[in-house]
Amino acid sequence: MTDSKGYMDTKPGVITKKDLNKVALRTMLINASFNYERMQAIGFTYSLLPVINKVHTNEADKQTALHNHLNFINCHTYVISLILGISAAMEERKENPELIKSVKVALMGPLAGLGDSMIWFTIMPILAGIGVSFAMDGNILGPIFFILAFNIVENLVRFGFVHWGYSLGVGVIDRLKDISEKVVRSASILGMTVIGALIASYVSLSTKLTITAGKAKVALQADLFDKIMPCMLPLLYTLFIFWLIRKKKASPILLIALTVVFSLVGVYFKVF
Amino acid sequence: MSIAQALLIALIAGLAGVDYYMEVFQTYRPLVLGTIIGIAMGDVKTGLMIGATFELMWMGLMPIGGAQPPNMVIGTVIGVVFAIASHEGASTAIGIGVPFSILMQGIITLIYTVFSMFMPIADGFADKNKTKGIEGIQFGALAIVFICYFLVAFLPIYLGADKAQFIVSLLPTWVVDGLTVAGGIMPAIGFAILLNTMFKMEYVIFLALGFIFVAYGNLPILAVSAIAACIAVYDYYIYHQKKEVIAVAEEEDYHDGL
Repeated sequence: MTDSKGYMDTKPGVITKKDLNKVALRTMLINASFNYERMQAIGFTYSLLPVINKVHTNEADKQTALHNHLNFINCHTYVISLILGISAAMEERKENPELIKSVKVALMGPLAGLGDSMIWFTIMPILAGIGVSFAMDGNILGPIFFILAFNIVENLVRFGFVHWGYSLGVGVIDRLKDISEKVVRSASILGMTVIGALIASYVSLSTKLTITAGKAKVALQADLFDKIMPCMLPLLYTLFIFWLIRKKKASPILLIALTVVFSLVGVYFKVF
Repeated sequence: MSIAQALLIALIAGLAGVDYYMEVFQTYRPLVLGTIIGIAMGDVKTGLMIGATFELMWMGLMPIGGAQPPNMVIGTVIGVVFAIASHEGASTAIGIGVPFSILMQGIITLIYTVFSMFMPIADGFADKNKTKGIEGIQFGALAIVFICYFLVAFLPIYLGADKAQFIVSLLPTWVVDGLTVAGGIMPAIGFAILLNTMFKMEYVIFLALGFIFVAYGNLPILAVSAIAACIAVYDYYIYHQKKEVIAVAEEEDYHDGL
């Protein structure tokens, strides 16, 4: 796919509130086939199907859209609704698939960070904490309160964010209609920066090796790698995988198998 | 314990496990799941109390970015079942539950790995516009997750804690530790694939920038995104202004030539 190649049929489709609710309902299965290769890719495509099926009557365009959404994505399991809403608006207006992809990549990192800190690390502990305090006294209202309160918050986010994202998308796209090529550049800058940040945040790999030189013991990780560049091993490993994909056309399955063997051998010889 | 009761508890574990995989109804939280197991075994109060204790242990532990914490569903189910059966307190429940929760953590990492095989299948469905196939993958995957949780809960309950723990202890620690390390590295593959689809040499400096902010600066993703947004907006004005200036200049050259 190149920057300029858009959909063949550029006549806008029509998305109703009902379609958006279908998308929101489907986000419940966003993690169903979660995997290390492209994480929530199938779940995202599955969730957006009501929109894709309705908007793309041209078979070739539908195929383009399906492949485009089967790209890697990983975000918080219901804050991701916002990205689905925006994607729905962009598909409806037949925006360039390249732009849709860039916008998704640019948004997933920040929204995952927001969702994890707001939902998992703030709302969850507060509601569960209240539930636990009841339960410790033997009161069965504890778990009942927790599950009701949490599900209300969760579904407000899940459904609300799809609609919010859609109207956000519609408003922004109409203004940006003629400059989508320029926006791809900005979204790419944002996306690339976020990928760099994600590598340092979420890939973890460190070595337990020590080098004994006479009486001096040097712990490779703490005394050398962390001094030069923290997260050096995660970066090197990611770049190594990237090189295998780009230059050697290695298949993801092979890379995953390689990573498992690499970890097992490393732990067996006490390197990690 | 009767087979019927063991099957019922395994069924609950399977459903809660699927819920945990999807993070939807929160029936997998120890507070809720402990209570449900308590009801199934006829001792609500013990289930409730141990569930609450486990909840505090697992609070703030959610799978983030594909990295797995020790599995709270299996830990809670096994812990509560044996605490109720043996009339022991929460500390015994933790002692029995935790080894199984670590075992399940390894199994989930394997599931995440094996589920990658769905990607080429989904690509194939996309080639033929078979959207029903993509929907089918989702439900097939959930069925596999259900079966895994069902078996891991059923076997120790059916065999009894002693035999089950002996079997777990036979598993070499380097295998479980190795899978944990693999789980930590795995996101690298997703990021590398993503990088491959986005890659252009002129954007590499931004990749470096994002990495540096987190590695050296320990900034949260949200802060890095905000900085990146500022740069993107700045670039937007500078880059396109420059282009216009060049375009105008070229036009002037043309006029001069005349």
